[in-house]
Amino acid sequence: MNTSNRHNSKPVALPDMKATFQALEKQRHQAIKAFWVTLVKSLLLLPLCFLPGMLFIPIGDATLWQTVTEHSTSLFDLSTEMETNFAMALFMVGSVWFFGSLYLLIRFFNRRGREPGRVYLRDYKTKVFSQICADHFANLTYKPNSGIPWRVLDDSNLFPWISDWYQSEDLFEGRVEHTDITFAEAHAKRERTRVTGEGMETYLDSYFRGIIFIADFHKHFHSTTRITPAGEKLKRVRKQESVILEDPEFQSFFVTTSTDQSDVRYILSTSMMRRILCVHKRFPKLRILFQDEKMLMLLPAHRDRFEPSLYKRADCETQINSFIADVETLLPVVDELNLNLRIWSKS
Amino acid sequence: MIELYLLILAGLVVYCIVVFNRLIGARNSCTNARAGIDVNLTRRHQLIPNLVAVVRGYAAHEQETLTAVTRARSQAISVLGSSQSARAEAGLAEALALLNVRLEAYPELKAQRPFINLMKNLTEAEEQISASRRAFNAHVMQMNNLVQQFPTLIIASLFGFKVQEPFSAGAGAQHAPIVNLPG
Repeated sequence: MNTSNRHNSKPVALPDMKATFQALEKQRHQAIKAFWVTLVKSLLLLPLCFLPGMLFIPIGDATLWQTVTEHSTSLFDLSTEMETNFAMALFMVGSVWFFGSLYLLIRFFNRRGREPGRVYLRDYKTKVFSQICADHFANLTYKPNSGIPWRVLDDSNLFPWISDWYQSEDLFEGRVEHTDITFAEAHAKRERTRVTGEGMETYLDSYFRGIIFIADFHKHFHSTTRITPAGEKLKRVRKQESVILEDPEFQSFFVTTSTDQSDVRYILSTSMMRRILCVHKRFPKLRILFQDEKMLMLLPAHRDRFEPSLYKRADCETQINSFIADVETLLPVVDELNLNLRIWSKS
Repeated sequence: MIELYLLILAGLVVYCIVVFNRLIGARNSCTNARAGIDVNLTRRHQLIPNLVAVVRGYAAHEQETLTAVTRARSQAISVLGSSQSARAEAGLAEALALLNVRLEAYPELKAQRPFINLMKNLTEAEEQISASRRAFNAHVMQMNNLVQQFPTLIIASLFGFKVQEPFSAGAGAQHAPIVNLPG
């Protein structure tokens, strides 16, 4: 049975959640209002940050700064050295004022203006998406604030580098027929350096953004096998050797390395290679790791999945359907790879 | 000038050693892969007496088919590791396929847990045999490339390395047991 058809047949369960939607809609309005009100307040307060700039406004043939310094020198009868120190102190107070007030203003805007929106989106995922998930995908649990640990990605050796910045959210755990699955959205970056006009600059470069999909594999195996896109830099791993497989199309798209030349062929039967190629058509540049009788897939994506919008009504069907569609895009991977076929001793 | 000749000679000797070691490595890989096939074949052989015992309890009328399976197994075991092994294994696969067809008439047997487990193990063994044969062929290809390509063929012929025969599917491969498990 096709997974997508199985789930498509069920209509979106909106009526049962009327009270939740009403409360969220109220929260959404408050969040939008808070954002705009805070933005206006911040814009009104912004000139205060530039108050020290007034010291440089020319009054007559001298700036206010020079005038204040001269007046203070004559008033308190200061020496030339003291005059310089006074000018420096005036400049430093001005700088502290400018940067300090700018920092406070940004903090104020983030806390009062943006935080209610973030809270709304978090609540929306917890209350609506979790409920929709439970309703549509009976064997799947959705945890919006959990993710897959960074170690899973780094230890997979599917990339030749490790992450310096990693974020994972929207964790799904459950079962599709006989296969246990776990998947979550993840984003990983690494530190790189580049040469600029002023010397070397360090920046974070995104190298993976998409879904980490872990599924229980339907056969027993003991080796570690990696499948990575052909032509890309490959990490050398001890005891893993390159494998030349019989399918020329598979060979043209992927590089396979394994710790066991026989076991890798047991995992990658000719039909499994064709199935991986089918998944590859939907998720180009996918990477796969077979380890500990599990299959880990890195499915690249160009956009954030499972994300509601602050500017859409809480009960917006398009938004809910988009969430369901996002999950439905991933679940058929189990059927595409035929992982539910349990004719081997592992059941 | 003599130094130059000595340098070239030393280079050639080093190259010969490297190629020789690669050839030895490739030949050992072939031997190892061949042994891997035998290990998996033995595993299949070990499963058959249990299968025969389970089937005999439910399908006593299939005595003739069961005898054929047992005979094919004995023959396969006796020639294991020799050049006749492929033909004997093909005969065994054919006998198992025939047994499987005959067992279609015994739904009660096919629903039995021990029978299901045995058939799952048998399917697993079949796939592992297939995987080890593919691995063997990959090693043979690597070895043959070294033996037949220039300039490694010079060293190979000097030390008597020969082209290996890849494993080709026998007549019985087309009749490999197809497991139909209930529900």
